[in-house]
Amino acid sequence: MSTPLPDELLSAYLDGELSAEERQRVEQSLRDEPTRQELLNEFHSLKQAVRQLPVPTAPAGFADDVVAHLPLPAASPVASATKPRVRLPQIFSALAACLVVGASVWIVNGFPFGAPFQSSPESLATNDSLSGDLVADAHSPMIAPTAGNSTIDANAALEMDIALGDESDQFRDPVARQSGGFGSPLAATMAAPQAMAADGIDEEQLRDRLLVRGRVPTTGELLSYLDTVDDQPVVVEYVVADVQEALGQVQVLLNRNGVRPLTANSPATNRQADDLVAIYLEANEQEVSQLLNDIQSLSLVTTETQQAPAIRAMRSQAAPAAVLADAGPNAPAAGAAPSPTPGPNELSGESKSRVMQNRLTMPPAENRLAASRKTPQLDSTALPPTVPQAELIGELNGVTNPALVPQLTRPQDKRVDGDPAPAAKQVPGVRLMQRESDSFGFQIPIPAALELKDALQYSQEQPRKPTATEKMASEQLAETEPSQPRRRIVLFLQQSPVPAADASDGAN
Amino acid sequence: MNIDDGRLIERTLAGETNAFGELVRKYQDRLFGTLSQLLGSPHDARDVAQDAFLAAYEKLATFRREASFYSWLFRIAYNAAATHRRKNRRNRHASIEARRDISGAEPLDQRDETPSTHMEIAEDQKLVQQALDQLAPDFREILILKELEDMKYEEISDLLGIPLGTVRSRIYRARMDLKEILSRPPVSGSVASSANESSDAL
Repeated sequence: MSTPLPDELLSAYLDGELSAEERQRVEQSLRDEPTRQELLNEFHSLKQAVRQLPVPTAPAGFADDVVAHLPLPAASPVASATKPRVRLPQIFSALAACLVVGASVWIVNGFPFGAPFQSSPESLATNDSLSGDLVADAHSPMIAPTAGNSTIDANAALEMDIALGDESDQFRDPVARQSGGFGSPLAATMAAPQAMAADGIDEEQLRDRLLVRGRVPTTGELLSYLDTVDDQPVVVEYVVADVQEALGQVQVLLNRNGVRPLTANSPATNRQADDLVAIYLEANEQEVSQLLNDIQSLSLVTTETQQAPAIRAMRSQAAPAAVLADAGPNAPAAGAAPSPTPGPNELSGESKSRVMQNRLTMPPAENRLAASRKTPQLDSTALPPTVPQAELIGELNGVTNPALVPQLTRPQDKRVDGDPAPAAKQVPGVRLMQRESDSFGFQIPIPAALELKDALQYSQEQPRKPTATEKMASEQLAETEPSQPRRRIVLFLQQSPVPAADASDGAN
Repeated sequence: MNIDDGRLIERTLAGETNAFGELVRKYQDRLFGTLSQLLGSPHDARDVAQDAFLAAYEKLATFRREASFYSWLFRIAYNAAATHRRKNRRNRHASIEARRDISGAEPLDQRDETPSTHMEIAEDQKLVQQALDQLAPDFREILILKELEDMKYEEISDLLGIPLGTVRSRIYRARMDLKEILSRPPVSGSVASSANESSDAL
């Protein structure tokens, strides 16, 4: 009786899947043993029988049906393929599997450690005339206008163009002027929102972002975007001054309301502690890995030990005041020295610790969307009494983003059991920090936030029933890793380029 | 990559949904046939195929064109089928009933045969289909991938996430089982599905 191995080789021989040596062995055995040839013939007959089985063809009209179900252009791959800056479709499938929570507003409100928005009295008046959210924001210590912000370099080139309440001012915008002013006949024939943008931000880019929103903005609405100016990340706010719709065209007039640099250029900002943005997701590690893989601009993952003093402070209850020294609008000029005396709008060290915790601790999932529209609660009585601890719990697996892989596979990053941790271990891949029992966080730099922000905003502002595919993706992910719990995930987006470690930072 | 496919993909990415419709028409029958075998139901195959095409459309900008469009599409469809199959585990009876649709009621290839020859072929095909249906799910699946999709061992290994050696031995064992089932005396359709009570492959 023949051994299984040769018969198995016979089957693979039929499929042309043998090495040259194996093939020679099989051919030799075929010559020597006639029964082998019989079995080969049987395998061949079986192969043909299965290949010739009748299979049903697609029903009539199937292709038309598929085309009819294709998403609208705004959500299709078309937009991203032709304009690679917005890579929503790639990110969307990953995001669809995540419960995305108020990222849009959180990014606006969620710069707990940075300087406030540069706002003029006019812009404050504008805010007051807008929604309650903005009124609340205007009174928030974190973004209240203060003197002393003029040292922020990026603002000089991005002076705001406020015009609400003064119609003539709307046309100070050179683009609007060139377009013949608002309300003039539209030259464009495309059935898409047309943004007449101020200079500094690309008009087409603004239009794309309006398109991505999937709905026509309303007058008075505040739009905020993460963007770059001269390669520096900034937050730009626009107020929708007016919207006109006619004949399938939408014309939107936007007035820039404020620009806030996210750079560390300013001597008035703490190079280490400012501009840490927290975005909250609910997902499991696999989903986050996929998300990170899909963010093409992700090129650096900051480390917990070197670039995240805020987090480090959270690990040590003794340090929160130092970390938060620059968080208030009256931030000290430079360095990491804590402000010994709180300014008028500044919270005491203890209160600010609580504020930080509040900003980094979101309500339960069901309440987050609603909460994201509100100004973070600053009432200390509503806050938990202690600063949460963060503890390094490991590295995120499954990240294959080419931009990250070199870091993840650097030899010095590999952990070898029994070996002492090398010094370079401070530069691992994506490090997870356990913050609460059901959440963990990691850090990625701001440039990645540009895409992430778009994607999150897209998900949030375009609520719709998930397609069968998205459901499928979600279920697939869930079923692939059934034992992997969905946890609250905090994306800490930190500015980049990462500044050199500051000696005064007290890294240990 | 197929030049025609490349052009259709470019046109799709440029906003022509009709170009994507052409891609669908080009591959729908092949995909639908394999999915019908994998899922055992033309009805399920239709749903999964539609989901797969929609997913492919949404991900089209990420298609790297190193492989053929169909290979890429099939991987999406296979994953969709796996999800669908897991979801419908409890509806095993419905699946078995649907599987009979494939082996018995579906139209056969329209060949230029005499009626008697046609009947003989149809009978043989029915027996082979029943035997295929009786295979353990792992074996049935891998034979479908090999024979219907004509996938290389390496491609199967990649798709299923199993070692190359496992692919080779599994295909061999599937063929041996198929041979053994076909050598048995003919059985009625009602008994034919007992092997399917084992775990699903997908």
